[in-house]
Amino acid sequence: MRNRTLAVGMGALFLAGCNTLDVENPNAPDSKRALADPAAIEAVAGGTLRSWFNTYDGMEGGGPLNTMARTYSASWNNYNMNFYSSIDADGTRNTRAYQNDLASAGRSTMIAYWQGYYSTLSSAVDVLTAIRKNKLVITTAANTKRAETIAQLMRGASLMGIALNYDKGYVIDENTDLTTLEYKTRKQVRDAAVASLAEAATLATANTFTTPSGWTNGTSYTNVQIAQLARTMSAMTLAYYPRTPEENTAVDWAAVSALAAGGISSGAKFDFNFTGDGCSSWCHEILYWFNAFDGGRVSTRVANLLDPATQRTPYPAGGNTRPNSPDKRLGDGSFGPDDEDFAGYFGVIPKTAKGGTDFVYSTEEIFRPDRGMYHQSNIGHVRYDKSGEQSPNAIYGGFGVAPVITRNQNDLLWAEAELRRSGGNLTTAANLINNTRVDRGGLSAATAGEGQAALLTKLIYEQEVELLGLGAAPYYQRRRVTGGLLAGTPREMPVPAKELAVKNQEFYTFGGTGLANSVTPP
Amino acid sequence: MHHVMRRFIAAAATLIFLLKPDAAQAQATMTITGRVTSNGQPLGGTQVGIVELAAGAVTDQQGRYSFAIDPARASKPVSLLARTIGYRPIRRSITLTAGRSEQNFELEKDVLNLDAVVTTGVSDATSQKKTTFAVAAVDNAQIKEAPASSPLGALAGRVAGASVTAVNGEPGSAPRIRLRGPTSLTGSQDPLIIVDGTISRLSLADINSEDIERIEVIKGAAASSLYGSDAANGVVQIFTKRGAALAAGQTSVTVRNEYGSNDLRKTIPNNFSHPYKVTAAGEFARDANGNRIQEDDKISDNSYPKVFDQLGNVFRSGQFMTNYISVGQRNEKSNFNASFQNSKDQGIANLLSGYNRQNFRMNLDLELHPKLDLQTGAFYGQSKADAADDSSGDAFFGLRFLEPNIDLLENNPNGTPYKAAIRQTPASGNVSNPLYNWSNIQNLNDRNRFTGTLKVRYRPFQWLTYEANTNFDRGSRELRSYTPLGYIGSTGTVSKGNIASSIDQTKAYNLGSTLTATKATSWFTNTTKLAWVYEDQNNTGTSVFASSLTVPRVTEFSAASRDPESPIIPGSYTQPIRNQNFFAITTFDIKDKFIVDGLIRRDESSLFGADQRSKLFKRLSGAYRVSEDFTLPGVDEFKLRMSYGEAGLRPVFDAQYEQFAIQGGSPVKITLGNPNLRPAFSREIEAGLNVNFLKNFTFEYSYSSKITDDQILNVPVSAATGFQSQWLNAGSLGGKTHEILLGAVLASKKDFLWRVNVAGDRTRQIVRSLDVPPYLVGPVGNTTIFRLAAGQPFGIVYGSRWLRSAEQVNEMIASKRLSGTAADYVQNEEGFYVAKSAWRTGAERPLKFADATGNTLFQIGDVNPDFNLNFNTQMNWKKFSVTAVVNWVQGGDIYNYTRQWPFFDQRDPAFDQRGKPEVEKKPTTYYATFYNNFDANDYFVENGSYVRLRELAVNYEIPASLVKRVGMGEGRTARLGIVGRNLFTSTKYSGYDPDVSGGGSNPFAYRVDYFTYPIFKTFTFMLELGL
Repeated sequence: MRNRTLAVGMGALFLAGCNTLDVENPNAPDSKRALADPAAIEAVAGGTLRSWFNTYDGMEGGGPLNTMARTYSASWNNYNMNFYSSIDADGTRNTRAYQNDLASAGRSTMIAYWQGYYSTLSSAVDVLTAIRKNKLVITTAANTKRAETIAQLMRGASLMGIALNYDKGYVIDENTDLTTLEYKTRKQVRDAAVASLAEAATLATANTFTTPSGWTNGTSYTNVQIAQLARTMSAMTLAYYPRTPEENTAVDWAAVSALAAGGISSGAKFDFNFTGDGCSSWCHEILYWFNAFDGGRVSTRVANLLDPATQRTPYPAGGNTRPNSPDKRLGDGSFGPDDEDFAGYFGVIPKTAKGGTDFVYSTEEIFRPDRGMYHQSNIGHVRYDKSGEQSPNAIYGGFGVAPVITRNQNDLLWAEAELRRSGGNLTTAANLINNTRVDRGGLSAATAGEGQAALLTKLIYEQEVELLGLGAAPYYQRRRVTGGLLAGTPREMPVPAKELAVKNQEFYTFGGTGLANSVTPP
Repeated sequence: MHHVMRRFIAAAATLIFLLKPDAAQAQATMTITGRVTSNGQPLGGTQVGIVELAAGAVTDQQGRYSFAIDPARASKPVSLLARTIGYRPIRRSITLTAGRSEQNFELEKDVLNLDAVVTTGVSDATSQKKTTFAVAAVDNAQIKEAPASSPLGALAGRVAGASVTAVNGEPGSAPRIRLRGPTSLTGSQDPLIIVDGTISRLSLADINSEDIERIEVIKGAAASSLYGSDAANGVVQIFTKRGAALAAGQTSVTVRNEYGSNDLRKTIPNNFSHPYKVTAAGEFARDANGNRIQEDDKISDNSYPKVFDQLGNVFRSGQFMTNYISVGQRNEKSNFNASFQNSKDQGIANLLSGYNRQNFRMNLDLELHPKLDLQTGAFYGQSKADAADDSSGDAFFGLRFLEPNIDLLENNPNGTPYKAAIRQTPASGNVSNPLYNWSNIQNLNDRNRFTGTLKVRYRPFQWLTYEANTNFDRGSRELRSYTPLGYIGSTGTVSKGNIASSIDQTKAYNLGSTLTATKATSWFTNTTKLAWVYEDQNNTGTSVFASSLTVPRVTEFSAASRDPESPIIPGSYTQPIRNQNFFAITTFDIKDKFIVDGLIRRDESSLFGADQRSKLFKRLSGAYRVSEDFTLPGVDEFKLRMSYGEAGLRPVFDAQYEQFAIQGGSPVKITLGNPNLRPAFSREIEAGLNVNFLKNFTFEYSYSSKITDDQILNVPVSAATGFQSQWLNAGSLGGKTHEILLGAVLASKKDFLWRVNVAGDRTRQIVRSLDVPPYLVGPVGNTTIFRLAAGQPFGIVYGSRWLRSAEQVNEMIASKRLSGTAADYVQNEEGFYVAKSAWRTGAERPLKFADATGNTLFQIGDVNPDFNLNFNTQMNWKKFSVTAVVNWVQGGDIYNYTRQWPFFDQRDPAFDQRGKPEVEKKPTTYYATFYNNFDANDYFVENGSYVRLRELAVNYEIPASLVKRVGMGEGRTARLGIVGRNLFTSTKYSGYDPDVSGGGSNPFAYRVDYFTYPIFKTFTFMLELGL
């Protein structure tokens, strides 16, 4: 018996010695598994859409920009919103420069877009490298072209994100040597974005495909729609790029018009959207926060546009009274089920026939008054809260269809281009404005006869009201050219300290007193 | 492969041959017999034997022993040694001749454990007098009076240089321990834990203290090199009871019951005032929209018409109970110990049942042959915890935001208990009713643990011992949480509920094979050991989360919604880890006064980068027993020692790999791999002395200087790569520690024994180099406030400072960061400089300090204590015994986020201006400034000094006559006692308890108070029967 015990023991030792120490990580793939296999590279291509959405609609970058633009308002300091969007006693933000330092809490605001867009860009370039340089075939030629097109589109979309927000950035493609990579000016980044999006449109036009619904967690897009989307993104890149009114004037608005004319509101119109999964993998954080009117409110600046009579700005002591807006999107501000408990919890007026489609009135002051009355507002944004009751299982909880770029956004880009380009067509512009002004807002139609200035005012109204929640781009980037940013508010982001530190470069920042709000464009 | 198999068979055959009974046994023998006593009383369980021949016997309950030996086995005189735990051994030289020899021994008590034998870190069992480095030992006698829930708790206050923190008070959570200073900048400081030879990778919370025979602790690389790449944080080796200390033929049964209660140590006061206008009836005045109207002065000095004892509702006295039974027996060829423990710890959270645990242990030793021993052991434990879910912070977080006028016991509108929608504007939604949470949400944490050990020891020759061991450890943890459909949030939102389940399993085994050779000459003894150790560990986990339910009161996944917008989310992981290690150690004991020890160890690990699969570690150490050469007045033993050793810290499983995470079904780059990742490499020099003097005193001093290079850090990479970070060997951490241990027997008489131990340490450490720019670390995202920078200590809190000195004001005026002159600023009643024009007005605000460059971020705290000093004492007087442990932690800061965050909702007594002279009242906006957007600032840095009576046990042994009278037989014993844990704490710290930690990998560097389950005190009655 004891001999047997010994033999078993010795045998165990012997067997143990045979186990190799070279253990492959079974949990997460490496480049060999993620970038060489056709199915995996196709998943990488599809994944670029998801990572781009999550970045574009993320709160880490978008929360501060939306509130600094005073479109939404929140007193919470989540995502550094309170710090960057608060207003100093002198009515400026001169003490609120970007905290671009590894030791500062405010550093994360600059990191989010940088990390998110370059993550997307890197994956897109991996796909392009696999297909173009390594000649990888994904099942069929059509599927290969589909992946290549999406990668090209998201490469452009990522560069757009950098060009709109940072003073400089990297331009990377499948031929880039990362070891010798240098920054390009934001203009060069912009041009690279536009070129990439143009190439994506060309590829999409030249091929026939439909994207799997899983790539957007719910919706498929045809190659025709992808081409339209690429043009809309190109138009966005050009139109949202300027930091100053002068740069705005210098925009090639004719090009914007041409691109928007082929964008997602041309031909068969569509919205570019995805479906949230409770912020597990797919998250429209901006709507998750701001379509919850205990998370954030519409700035009183915007509320005032909707109903100047009742929604006074700045927010007065005692709050604003119940609205009676001619705009159907606000109406009388009533909301939700006819439920006293519900109304009690949220300070809302139970739904009436005059209830608005997009906005709600709440008597409740959600923010502590001594944190700044400018954060207060009685108007919440509920356009995408399909539940009508702030259900945690709808957009309030990160679930449901979430728009990224809408056909109306393309309309308004197109309209602006017509209004600003030399020889623009005011009738086209007025019609495009009316697509939302009349159809959604129930307001009187704009006409060409009103002239450019009046139409621009109506255009801006529509941009302010209609595009809420669609990323930070329609707001922050537009408000910096219309003088809408308070003094001291930075107009663009520096390269994040995290990146500068890796490269052993000096930290720098924008905003505040005595600091440039933006560098002079090249 | 075949030739390997042939060798294996040949080796096995040789072993079998060597096991044949010794033919010499039949020859004429010598019988050595006698009696061992102490103070005239028989001393059962004493080992009496001939050291050189490994022959001997154990005394029975009458103290008698007897064994036979062949005189031909030794031509020269041999050493006959009598020894037992807790007594000073006696060695006597005898010559072997045929016939009978009576050898009696009278042993003295070794109250200070001066002659204790240790086995951790050394080549073979070694007397404490001859170790070349400090080995701390805590035995059952010190633990048994107030056994801690976890074995690590037993080390608190007893081992110099051992810091133990509870992390939080959640019943069933394991304390954390750090030995000496930190070794890792961002990794774990946990020492290597070995239980009966099993390298434990699982929580010690599963193991009960009553079973422990002895714990040995070595604290750094100078001692722990023997354990290689996983031992730079030191080693804690636990030995459980085996019945080996019993007298031959004795059976011992112990039944111990403890019953008592837990109570909150202290409450944290709320702000019982508000700044709103009130009506004549004392209710809030409201504007047309129904919102409260803030008074123009914004001063919080109005009383609520009614307030509630919310902490009294949320916390309660909870039961604490342990039942323990142990049966041990020793026979001629075997000994065993079996035990069962049942414990229940309700904690202090109302409505929650707390933690229940049942443990069973069985250890058995067999002598199969005079040359062959077998040791086996098995442990099974299971526990269930009804957790408060402090991880998400819902309960203890929301509690801190309650306005005092909220009645937590009020029903919901639908009549169910504990009102959920308790938010009162303009308070934030951070508020929650813990009672509603606990009565509706289930958070169950079940653990199971099985450990098995088998060790074979074979001595083919007197000078050679072969050991083989295999140890198996399997643990699983199941977490299950259930939020019902219809769960109401504090704002009134109604959730569709969710279910989360995760099962994590660890299966680990280690195999060892050791050859130990001993060579003795007239002037030296050498012990040399060669060993091979193989470790195999497999961590696996699966999880499922359903975010929406379709029916109420069904707690299984069958209730999960199939709505694709509310998906069921699965997850899993597998982590195979393998290590293979070899070592050789040799120790020379020269004339009993010089001890020289050297070792070399080679570790191979699957956790190292593919191009760095192995690492060498070395140790060289020596001791000189000065008192063997020089007689110093009053000095009984004087030893100088010095040791240099190397040990490592292994990377975590994922670190070496290039990793893409699968997010939303697609691979996304996360970590750039590093095939050159090496273990962190710690080098330590330990020097010290041990002095035993005046018979009743012992003093130990150790100085340690350690440097840990190749720090394993997860550092950012350029975003252009698409990856977020990479694990690199990128820094060096240095530390110096002074430790003292003073033991004194202040009285040692027949009826009165009083022993006192004092253990103290002071550690200073510095980040010697960092290959990346300074950055912030912390246990969780919100508490990332600790700055890592070369040249700085480790544990530095970084944040803003408020103006508190005239020098700061002058500096800012000089750099034009403040306008005007010094006369424009005044120090207010609270010590902060404010604008004179704003002082005592509604515009008064504290001002933030900025240096000449405009920088507002500085070191604002250092968590490292000036020193730790611990006292433990044991006093026996007649039938009474008293043991006590007192911890004194002097200095070291705590960052109090539990206080800062509620500033957001004015929920701190600082806001309460009632009772102040009118001119000194300050507006809420003044105090709200300190909230500082939740960013760290020096207002919330508090001194973490405390003195704590950690353990107090007073026991009374019921007289034998009385025991007999209640029907218990001869020789039975009964003890009654009271036990207190954390009974008294003296501190100025404002939170629930100063022993707080943000947790994470390094709870000692992250002293952050962050809404954890409060640590509580326990008071129990104890009855112990010896049957």
